Amino acid sequence: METVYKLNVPNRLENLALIGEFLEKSMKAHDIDDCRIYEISTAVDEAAANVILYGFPDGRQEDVEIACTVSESSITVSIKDTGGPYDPTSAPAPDLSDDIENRHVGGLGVHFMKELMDEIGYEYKDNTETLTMVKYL
Amino acid sequence: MDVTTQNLESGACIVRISGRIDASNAGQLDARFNEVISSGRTRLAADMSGVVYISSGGLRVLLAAIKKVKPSGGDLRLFGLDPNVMKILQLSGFTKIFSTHATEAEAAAGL
Repeated sequence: METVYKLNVPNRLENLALIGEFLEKSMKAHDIDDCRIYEISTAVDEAAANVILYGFPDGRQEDVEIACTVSESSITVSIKDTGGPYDPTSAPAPDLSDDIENRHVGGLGVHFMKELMDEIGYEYKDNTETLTMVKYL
Repeated sequence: MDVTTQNLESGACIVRISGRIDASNAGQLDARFNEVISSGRTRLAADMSGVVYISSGGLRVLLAAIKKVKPSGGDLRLFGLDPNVMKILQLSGFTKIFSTHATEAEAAAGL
């Protein structure tokens, strides 16, 4: 059996905290451990930030839909919006070197998503992009 | 997110950060670090004990700060990291760039 929670928020950075609170509340209702909650929330925060920061260069104000599905075996979070298209699954690997002078931070958000989640899928259809991330329990 | 600073007699500065650091407020943190560094304080220790979350945007700010202070012999050390926040630093390779400490005393020693 699975339970689906949904949240629609305007595409503004100030709503990232709201998304985090929504995810925490949804997962705590199913006794998901704090570590997993943190990992999933981090991955979603990075993905949502990318959507809000880069998905609407024309400045459109649109809603972003977050859906959190909790089942006995996994937690699936999808982010759906009319921005983009940007497929994070095809982003290049980040620079993880310890060379302070030349180190850049680009790509870390996608790196976190890939490292903290077990599956990532992206679809762009009918002017809507959907990023789906799964964490196995 | 809240940021306060405390200048030490040694000339070092403690930057105390609390709350959530994400894309919505990383710019404010960046501005605070720039204020401190512009005032001549380049030996810094960031009190991360109140930080509950840091995104890649927040990490970008920390990296920018250490890049500014290192060339003149300064440093930015981190202390009091929550285990979850530490995990993110490890995942990003930042534990190879920043020295991390359990306490303020350890971080400030020799700073």
